[in-house]
Amino acid sequence: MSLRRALDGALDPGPEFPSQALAYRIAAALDEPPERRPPRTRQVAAGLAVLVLAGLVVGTLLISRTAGLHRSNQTAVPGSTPLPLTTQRGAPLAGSAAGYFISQSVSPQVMWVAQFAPSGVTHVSRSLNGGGAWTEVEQIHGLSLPPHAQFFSPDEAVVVGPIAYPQRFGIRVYATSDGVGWTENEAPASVGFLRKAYFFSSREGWLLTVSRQNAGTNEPTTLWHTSDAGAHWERLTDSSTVPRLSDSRSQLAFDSPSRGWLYGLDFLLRSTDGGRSWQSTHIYPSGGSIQSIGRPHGNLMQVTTTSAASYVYRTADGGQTWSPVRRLPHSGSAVFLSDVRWVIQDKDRFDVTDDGGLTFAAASAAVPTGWHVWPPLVAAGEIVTAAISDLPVGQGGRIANVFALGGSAPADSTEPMDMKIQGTPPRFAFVRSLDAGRTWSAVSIPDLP
Amino acid sequence: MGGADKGEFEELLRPHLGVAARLAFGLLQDRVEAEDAVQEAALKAWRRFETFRGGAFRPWFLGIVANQCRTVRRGRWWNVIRLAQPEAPQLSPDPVRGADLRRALLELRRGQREALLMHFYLDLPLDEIATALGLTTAGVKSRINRGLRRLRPLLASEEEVHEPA
Repeated sequence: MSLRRALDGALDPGPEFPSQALAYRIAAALDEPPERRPPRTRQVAAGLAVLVLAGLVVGTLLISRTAGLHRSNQTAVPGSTPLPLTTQRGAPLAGSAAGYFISQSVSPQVMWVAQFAPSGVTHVSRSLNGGGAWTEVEQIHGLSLPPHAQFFSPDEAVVVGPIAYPQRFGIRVYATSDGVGWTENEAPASVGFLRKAYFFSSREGWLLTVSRQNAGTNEPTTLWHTSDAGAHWERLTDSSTVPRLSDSRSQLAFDSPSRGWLYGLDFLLRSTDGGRSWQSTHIYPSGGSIQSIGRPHGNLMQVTTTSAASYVYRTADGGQTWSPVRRLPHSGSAVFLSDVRWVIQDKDRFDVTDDGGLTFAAASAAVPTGWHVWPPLVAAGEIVTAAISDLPVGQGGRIANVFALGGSAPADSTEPMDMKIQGTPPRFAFVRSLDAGRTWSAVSIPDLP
Repeated sequence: MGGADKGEFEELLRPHLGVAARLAFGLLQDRVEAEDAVQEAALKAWRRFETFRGGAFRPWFLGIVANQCRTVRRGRWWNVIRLAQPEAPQLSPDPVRGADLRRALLELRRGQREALLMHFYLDLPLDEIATALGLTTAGVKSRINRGLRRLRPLLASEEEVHEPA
């Protein structure tokens, strides 16, 4: 046997090598700007664009998108079932609070938090000094899980949720555009039961609804739109026309009043007419079956394959076609601050790139022992926020879907949720970076009254 | 990119992606890293395309690929984040023997490994290897022969290794 044959045997890369995707990847990479490190003016422009986009991002740090990105970790845990512990709960942490939260930084100084207390009261608070002091700006009574909150500016916010027991039917929208006065609008019964909500501003938003409570996937689903904070709803389309709407794992988001995304485990639909019609997008292969697709941010999105490889995809045509441009070093939750500046969360660490994924630097947040970072990351400009929790790590992996914890309330209970784990509720706090992920510090949030 | 024509560049590149990927795989022994390296090399080649003075595109591009693979290999020990590959490619029908040869290749000096793989794995002519590696053909021969001498104990029992003329 010659050396040639020996090398052919020892260095057989296997079938389909190079993969068909390589040519696509290269073509997409060639479309990238020639300089990886953009001039300062471009960085500022990109940052502003992201700031605008971030204003549209669902403020939740615990949304079920996590389940999509980390499906292997998704563990449905009824609240009444003790968790199989492999670690002890974290020590008490000053500035953490129990319960279910949605929080967002809209600037280095201005932060919002909506806290959904087991009593059924939703407390909406705002800090104007970076979390140093909090003021409760609104108390909302009677919302049940799953709630939804978004914060757009120091004065503009919206909270949406299903109406709690005993009515147990209907959807209410609470909105403010000045941070002081709140409107309350209840959707008519014909709108149905809330599955997903997304708001572009405190007035303009969309609902995905189903015809019965606790509907599973493939239940007939309808998409609605409001432009007056929920006072009126217009039916846009339904799952008989767009079957993907009925996938309970689908996520809904809008970059603008016209451009929307419906994305899920292995699909991405795009709307360019405000949600009336939806088109499939073409996602080129990256070397493995797609397990989950993240929300597009600008021209980039994260795609994770069934082999846990994670890729950054890029579009050059407004989102119609997507090609892989970079393999990420791990499959943690990624957030794109600009075309070249990304942050990826990996366990309790963050990896930051400034050159479009060519190199990464690790940054550690001050996460106390027994506390854990919860994906996804949320960005507004150069501000990146992540939730941390003392939820224990179970044998099946970290609990990734907080909604699973809300299911223990007995059918006749007046208590909308019971999030206790081993007798006490999980506690949450936040870590935040003001410099695009390089340094992180803890942010205190108010405890529930 | 000034006056450079991306379409022309892609036309030149496309026929050589296969051999480039094979070279990268031989040097890195990892499918994913190899494709990443070729992608990165293509990007670098495009940025330098205006400096490409004509002549043979393949050795020029393979030189960039080899250089990128050096960068990847250098990065392996200092990169703070490297994922274990989720699926290990089946590299050889004879895993023990293949593993020995792969390990021996990795233990060669870089120049020897590159020249040897280009010649025996990619079947490139010596003058093309010389262009790719920025050497004379005599320099390429020298590296190949030194590499062969180091591999000979592994291969000598069953085969005759023909050194390049």
